[in-house]
Amino acid sequence: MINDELLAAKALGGDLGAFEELVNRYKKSVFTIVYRIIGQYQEAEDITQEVFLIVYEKLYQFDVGKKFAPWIHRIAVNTTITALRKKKKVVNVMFDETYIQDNVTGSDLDDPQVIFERNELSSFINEVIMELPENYRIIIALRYQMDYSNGEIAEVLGISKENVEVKVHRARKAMRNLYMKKLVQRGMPHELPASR
Amino acid sequence: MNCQQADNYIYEYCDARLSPELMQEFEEHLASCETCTNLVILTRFENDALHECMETTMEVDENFTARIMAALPAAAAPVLSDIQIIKPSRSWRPVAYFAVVAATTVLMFTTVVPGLFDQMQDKNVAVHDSIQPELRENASLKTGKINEDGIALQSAGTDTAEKESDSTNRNVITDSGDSGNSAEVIQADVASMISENSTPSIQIAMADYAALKTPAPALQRGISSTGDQAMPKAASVPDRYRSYSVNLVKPIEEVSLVPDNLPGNYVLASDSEEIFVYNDTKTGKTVEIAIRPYAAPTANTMAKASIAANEILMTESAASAPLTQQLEVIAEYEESQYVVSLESNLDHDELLDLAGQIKLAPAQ
Repeated sequence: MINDELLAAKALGGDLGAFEELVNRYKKSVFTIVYRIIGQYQEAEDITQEVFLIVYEKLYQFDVGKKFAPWIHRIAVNTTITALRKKKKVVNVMFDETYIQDNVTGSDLDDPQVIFERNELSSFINEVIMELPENYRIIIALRYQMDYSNGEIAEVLGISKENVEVKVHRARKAMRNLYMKKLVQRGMPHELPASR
Repeated sequence: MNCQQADNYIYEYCDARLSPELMQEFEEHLASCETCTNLVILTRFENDALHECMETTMEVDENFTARIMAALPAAAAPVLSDIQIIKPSRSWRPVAYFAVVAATTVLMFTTVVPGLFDQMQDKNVAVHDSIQPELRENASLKTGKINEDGIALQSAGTDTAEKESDSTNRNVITDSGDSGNSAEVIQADVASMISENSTPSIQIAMADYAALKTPAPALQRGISSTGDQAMPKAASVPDRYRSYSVNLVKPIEEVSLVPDNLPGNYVLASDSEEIFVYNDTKTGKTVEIAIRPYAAPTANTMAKASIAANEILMTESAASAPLTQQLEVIAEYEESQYVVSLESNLDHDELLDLAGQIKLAPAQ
């Protein structure tokens, strides 16, 4: 199978078939990134389409000596955040403190038990992420989906690296609190698994 | 480290982003605090679930790709479909198409032209006096398309270059070794070659390119080589050696080269049906113009060409020789494809001017 970088080179030379293959390979991952940040299916699809058009326009900037995936995913992140800013949404990564009041105390964890399987928690988290405010979703997507370093996140969001640590901390706390609440609402004990 | 401090670092710790010093402090605290240890376990459990969640991709509309492809014409096309100037000294972008052309030219120089310079140092071949315009700004070249009068270049969307006069197009280059009495080698009348209905396109690739080390076989007048294998191996070549080549798909015998409007100090030193060699009487620089069939590259040859081109450039860089520019011009009309390759240490603009002044004509 032709690698992504060669396809990009072919597309750069005007081979539309090569570009179509790139679209097929990356549409899911790009859409997923956009959706996790935007949180709305139709809007995410529109932005995903915009991402691929930008990629097409900027192919000449792609260094085929490097990996294609990080390049296109970075465009996806930047395009999505730009789209948010165009909507005049404030993307300043300020967090609503009500989301991060720590509902989990040490006493809750004194007697840890296995209460759910990982896939159950994964399902919960997927649900919870989409219910988080946009700013939390951005941070979580950049850190845990894109696996960006603090420096890279700082660059994308225009904040300091030190700030990134604080934001990640708050986003994670918010995520935990939200799923713990859901566990309680559904009558499930929110205790720590004894082992992994 | 106390529990509050540990809580501040817990996500960085679980994401393995803590410094070694903080990591050690954190773990020392964990060894004595069951609550924080439990929180770390929970956090890691969440991490696993989070990553699993993030690895799950989402489906898009099944017509998504078709919509993207349909929307593409409205977007800007990739640059290389029009004109692309590549400067490998700044960025090594292996543009396969360029690499093939570059390697072809390099191959020609390394196998075909050895010794040429030495043989040509003392040549003194005059070009017809009436066709000695100076190198000048050539708008049609800078913008990149073929006009209907020849291999003049202009960019897509610009008007065609003005048609040159017949007197300009009919340049005769004589061998000054015979004091201009011997014959013309080439005559320029490109209009007769190119159909009026043709809509040729051109691509340009340019590379910084250090001086060639292995030029010039015996490209004596009268040599009638038909391929690279017919070219003698060469010795050495001056750093400021230049070469111009034109690769054609039409039978060689049907096409000839017209170095129309070359500066007057460039005089024909020798030529064959495929290769014409000029000597700059003022500077001693050499110009070689070759005509060879052009074959479309395959994927394999593209890869090999890319490697070859890079090797040459790296060698030259290591030798700290003066950088030389390489200019490739690919033109199509009717069913023929042409590659015009220029290698020189001239400035980009000057080289572009020269490229626009080289024309093709039917062989006599």
